[in-house]
Amino acid sequence: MSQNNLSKPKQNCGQRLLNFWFGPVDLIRIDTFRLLKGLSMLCYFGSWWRQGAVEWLSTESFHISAKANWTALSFPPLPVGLLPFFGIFFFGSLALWTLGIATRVTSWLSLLAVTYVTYTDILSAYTINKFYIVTLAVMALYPHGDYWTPQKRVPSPRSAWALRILQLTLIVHYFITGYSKAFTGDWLQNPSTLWSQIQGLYMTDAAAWMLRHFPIGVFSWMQYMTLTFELSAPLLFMVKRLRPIGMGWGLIFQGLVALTMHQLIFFSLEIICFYVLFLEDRTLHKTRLALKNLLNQLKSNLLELDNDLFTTLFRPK
Amino acid sequence: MMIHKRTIPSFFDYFCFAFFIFVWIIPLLYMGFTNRIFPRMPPALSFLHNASALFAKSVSSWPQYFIEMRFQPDGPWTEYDYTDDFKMKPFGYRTRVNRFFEIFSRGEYNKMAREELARWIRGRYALKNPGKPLPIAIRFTDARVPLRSDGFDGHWKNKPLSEFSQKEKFVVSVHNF
Repeated sequence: MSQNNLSKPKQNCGQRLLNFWFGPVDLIRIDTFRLLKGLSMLCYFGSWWRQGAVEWLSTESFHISAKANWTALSFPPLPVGLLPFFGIFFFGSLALWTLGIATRVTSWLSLLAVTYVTYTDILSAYTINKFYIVTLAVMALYPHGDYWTPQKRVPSPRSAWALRILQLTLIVHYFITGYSKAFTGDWLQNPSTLWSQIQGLYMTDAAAWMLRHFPIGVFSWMQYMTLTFELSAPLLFMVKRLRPIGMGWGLIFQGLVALTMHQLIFFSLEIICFYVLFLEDRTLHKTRLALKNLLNQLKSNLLELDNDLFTTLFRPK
Repeated sequence: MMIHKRTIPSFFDYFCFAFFIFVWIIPLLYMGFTNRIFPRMPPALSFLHNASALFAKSVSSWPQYFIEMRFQPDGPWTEYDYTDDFKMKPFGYRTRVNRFFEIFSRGEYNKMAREELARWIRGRYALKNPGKPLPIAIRFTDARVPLRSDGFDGHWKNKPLSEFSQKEKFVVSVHNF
């Protein structure tokens, strides 16, 4: 994992370990993650809302009762009349949190809203919802919002614990996904597992094209590359020098998932957000400042254009 | 850059870290390695931990689910078109009803959930067909689309029930009213 902690020199092993997990860190990675995660949530939940908010969250459609639901947590759906108000609350909280506005409050509101929609309708909730809930739970307990926000705050370092938990989440997710495939599933024994999965009810037009034009061997190759990537994720993301390889490989992997499986683009986008947590602080600061300068340039160009237009239109004859 | 003086880390930082390690990371690892729920974990939290065993096994066929109704004791089963009731397609080319059966189609402990769906479908039928006799039984059928090696002419498309042979269809459950 990254060594961008503001560390003291000449520490012993125990102190270095404590400093790594709990020492002060710049918030740029967490805040960039917040911005991207928020945008991915707005896209995902926006898509679900557009598909059918009435079916998703209202009393007019079918929802399993708490008694019949083995998750033993089932929130009641809303009357149709309340949906617009809930929509304003839901997307409003997410949008404000994404923009880093009043994050102490908006992170909790977003957490409540996302938890509500997940447990009201588990039929449309997947791994992506679970990661969103955990991410928001971490962020709700962690002061953030110094960067990527219109609010003017003086940046200050925070303990690294939230950054480490979120980094661990990605690494653990990739590793146990690979482990499940290799040792609980049959990805090692059966070279056609991916081929059988890809032609199912997630199959996109792109996947169908690949199935038409590629021999099964290509899918076997993709299968073993996927396994290798997931099982080596701890090394690829924890060792600084391997990180560019890990991220590049991961982007290709997540891109293929998005291309071949219908609507899994949302899941890929969510996972890719985690990659930001492994970038260098200075890279993110440079990006942020470059974008800020670009925006300022655009603003002044627009103002100039505005003035020119004004002068042209209202110049005394 | 002005640095605010604060104790880093505070007791709260240690507490939060320990919380997420014990409530999230460890159970996530446990479920990933053993395929079992972490002991004594509330079901609502275990639901969150079941996040990573995705597409782990090969399949020999893909399920499609159908709802059928019977209006006479020995009458035929007629297919109920639920596309108006379940328009959402969250992940994949499948409806929430398909997702329901993926979770609740097996086991006596899921019978209550299937019973609820059957009653709800009957209620929907009554709303859409006022004055008409209601079904006396509802049957849920699992029809299997076998794997193939050709004929991939585009994205996944659901097959109509009439195109499945008898050996490709399985009764999930029957609910009498």
